[in-house]
Amino acid sequence: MRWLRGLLGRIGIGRRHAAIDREVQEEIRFHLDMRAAANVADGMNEREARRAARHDFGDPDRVVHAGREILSGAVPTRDGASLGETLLQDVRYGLRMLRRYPFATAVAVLSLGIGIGANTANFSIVYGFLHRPLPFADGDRLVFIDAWNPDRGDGDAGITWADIERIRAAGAFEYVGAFDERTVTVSGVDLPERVASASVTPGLFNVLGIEPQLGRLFEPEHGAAYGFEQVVLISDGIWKRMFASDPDIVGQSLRINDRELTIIAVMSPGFGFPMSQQLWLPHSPDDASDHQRRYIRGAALLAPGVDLVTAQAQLRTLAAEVEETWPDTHQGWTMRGMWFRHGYLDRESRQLLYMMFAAAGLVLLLACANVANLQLSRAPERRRELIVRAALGGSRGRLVRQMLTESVMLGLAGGVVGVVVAYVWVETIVRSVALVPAYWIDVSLDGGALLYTLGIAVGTALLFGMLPALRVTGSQMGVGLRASGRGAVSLTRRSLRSALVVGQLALAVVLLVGATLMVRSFLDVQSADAGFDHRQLLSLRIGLSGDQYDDPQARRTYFEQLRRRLNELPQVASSALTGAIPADDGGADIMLVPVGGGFSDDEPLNATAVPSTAGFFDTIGVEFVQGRDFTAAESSSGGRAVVVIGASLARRLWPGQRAVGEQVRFVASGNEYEVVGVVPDLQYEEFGEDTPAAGMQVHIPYALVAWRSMAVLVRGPGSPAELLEPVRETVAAIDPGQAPYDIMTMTERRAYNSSGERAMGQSFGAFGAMALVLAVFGVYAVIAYSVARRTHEMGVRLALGATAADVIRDVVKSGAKLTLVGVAIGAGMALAVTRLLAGLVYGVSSLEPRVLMAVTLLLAGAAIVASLLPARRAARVDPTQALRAE
Amino acid sequence: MKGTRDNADRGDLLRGALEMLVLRTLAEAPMHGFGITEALRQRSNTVLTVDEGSMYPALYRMQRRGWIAAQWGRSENNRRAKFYALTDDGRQHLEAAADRWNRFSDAVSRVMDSA
Repeated sequence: MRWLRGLLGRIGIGRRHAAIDREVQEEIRFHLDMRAAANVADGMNEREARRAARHDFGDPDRVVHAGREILSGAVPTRDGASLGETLLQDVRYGLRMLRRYPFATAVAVLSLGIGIGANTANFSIVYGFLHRPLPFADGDRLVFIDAWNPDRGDGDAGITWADIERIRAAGAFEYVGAFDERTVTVSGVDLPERVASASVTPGLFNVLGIEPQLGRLFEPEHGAAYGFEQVVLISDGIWKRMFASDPDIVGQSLRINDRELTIIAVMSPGFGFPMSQQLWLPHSPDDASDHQRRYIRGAALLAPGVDLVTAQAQLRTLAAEVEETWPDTHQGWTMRGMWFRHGYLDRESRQLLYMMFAAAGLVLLLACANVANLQLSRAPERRRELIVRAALGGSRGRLVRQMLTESVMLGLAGGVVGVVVAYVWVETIVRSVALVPAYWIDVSLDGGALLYTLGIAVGTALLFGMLPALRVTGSQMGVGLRASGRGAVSLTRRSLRSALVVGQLALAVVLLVGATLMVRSFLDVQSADAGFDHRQLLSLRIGLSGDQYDDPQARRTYFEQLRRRLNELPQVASSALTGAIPADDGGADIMLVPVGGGFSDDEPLNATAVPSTAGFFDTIGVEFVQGRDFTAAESSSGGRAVVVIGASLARRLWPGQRAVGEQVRFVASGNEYEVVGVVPDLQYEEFGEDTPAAGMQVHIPYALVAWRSMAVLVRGPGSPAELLEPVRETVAAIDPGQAPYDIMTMTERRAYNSSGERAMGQSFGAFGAMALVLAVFGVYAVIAYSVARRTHEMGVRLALGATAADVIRDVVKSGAKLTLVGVAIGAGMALAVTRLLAGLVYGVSSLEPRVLMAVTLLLAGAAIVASLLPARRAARVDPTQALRAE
Repeated sequence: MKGTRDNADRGDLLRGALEMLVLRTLAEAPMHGFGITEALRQRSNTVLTVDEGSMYPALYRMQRRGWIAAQWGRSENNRRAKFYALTDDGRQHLEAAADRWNRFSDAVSRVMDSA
């Protein structure tokens, strides 16, 4: 506590004392001099006069002391004391009390610090993700518009330009803009690179009130169809990195997708839209009445006075009209309007965030119970002291206020520790999430978070302080005075303490079960079998940019050449291209039927189609169940119409039969393909995001689709890191204009894709650990306290012949009783909570008895160990001493 | 415990009287501590001679309560001295205390006279 005194000194309390002392001393000196002078005037000599003056005055030290106490407000001045004065007195008194019990104070401050820290951290996370005002003008009216088709299970699709025109005409929105996220190739600086960018309607940034740091925003006439843009806005990051913050940047050109575009502005530092994109191109449709291509999202401002629900209803009506006009192509499609941020944080993410917040609240409750328990355990001593004060005239209200002041001081100290905990928490957990958050997500601990911390620090202080304060100052104070010796523990107080511990244990079970499920979900995602060997595998993507690749044949040639050249590298054992990286991407949704029976065209099977080149299965280490891979000729020039299918699809279409040699027909095109091979199912889409169709897999030769963007998978005998340079060189040798991007080893990709689960796992792991520690400490405190109270009784029992083992058994039994009740209640609550978690978290379906058993045993075991310590102390009681203490 | 309480009450009575006298003295003019003791001594024909040092805690208490205000100034012999002056609150308190005191002493005199 010396630091505290130092702190008080620094904020001026010590200094004030010294100043008061000096003034009082000067006043006394003046008085003595005046009296001495008067005595001299009465005829005394100088020495006599001084002695008489000192005699008449009395003890000057007493006056100095009284002056210090009174003028600094340390002692009450009875009726006249103001609230501020009594507060100061309470604070000083509280400090003394807290200092007198350093262990209890430290434990309380730490408990509260953990609880408050968990809360502050999760407050700033929830606030930063979900509630911080968007950094746009009228961000509170900004609506994100997209489309979905619930019948087809199509989650997030774009809307069409015709939709935009209709929404503009309908009137629920004051402004309707559109944007499309794309990745472009920027070349001509150093190496070509892929940059996340967005095409936006020219007026959108003006409406959002965004100011560039250099240059001007788009003019309406800048809008152009893809490939015809003339101007570009660049981010502060690109300006600094690629142009070394050149102040004359505006007007210079940047080569994007093989065309020179003029830079017209540099955006402010940090700016990104819609999330953290780096380049912006002006976009307007080549055909504003296009109702087929769903590629844009709406960004619209609600008209003044229109609420979201009304706007949503209007969007649905508009979509229904479109569906009626073009039933063939728009069957089942509808439009969704949601707050802009919800376009990026879906309901499940939001629920998870709130759940973390709720879990943090439970941790704080546990901490509060601990502190309340600690205060209750000091109640008998406090009671004696308070009784004396009450007898000296302190009213009950005054005493309650005194105790609450003490609690608030504990709470504030806990708040200070909590801010540190929160800072570490936010740094380690949030920043470890590999996903680049949107520019408008800011989880930093700011003034709001600190204010929140202050609020909960004081709030919880009142929560945990009120109960003990009312108990201790309760109506039976007179009784307490007489029984102020040993063992004045009322039955109600003991049962209150027990109830607190039972509650703690129950909450701890819930938190631990939740934590276990979350951590396991994370581990499952990371170790889940994606159906292939991800070690020693390098993955990267190439999106062909440039007009020469408008011709599908040029793409086929390019990728076939790339495949062949890569396979010729000495470092490469095998390489191939695929349209979708397993466990990361999804394939294309298609509908198919087997040729010659079983299924009709009206009820086709939904499946996922993934194009790949020869060697794909070999590269990812998958063995064929039946048949063979595509040949190089099949995958590069599409000579024969062949497919390889997944095992589940094969079983579905031809149960119990050989699939190779059979044929399937794609419903949309009517084309038929011969099955040449069957492979085990692979994981498409990220774990936890798969749809039923993702399990039905058709691998088609690349030549059939000739996509512009493909993923390259390369396996070497050695480490994938060694492959990077030769692969880059090969890509550059074939066409220096192409930029490989999203380069990761497959193992890194797995970790990257599970970073969300990892953050959740870490958070809940921390909650679980905190809950365990707090609850076990609660049990320990209660048992230790009751043992201390019963020292005399133990002594008597030991004197009467009870063995140490008897005493230990007795103490542990009382601990075990509390534990069992708490754990049983907690198990019931955990069942309910798990049902909430199921469906939100990967791999959590329902509560497995194993998890509950493990958690219960862990907690019960820890609690019983915690009661063993005081039990052993009880058994070591020296009977003679215990009796003499009477 | 009871005894303590009574002592405290008796102390209060004396303290209250001292405070009233000091306030009454200050009602005429601001004064330093020594001046107040001198005034009290002279006006009571040296009947009321308080233990001089004990007057200061009373002054500090009244200062904290806002009945009197303190300010450093120059004494008649040109020394730095702390002067006390009556505040509005102090004046009100003085009136109330004087009122209580008069009723109390009336009652006491009546009882004494009737005996």
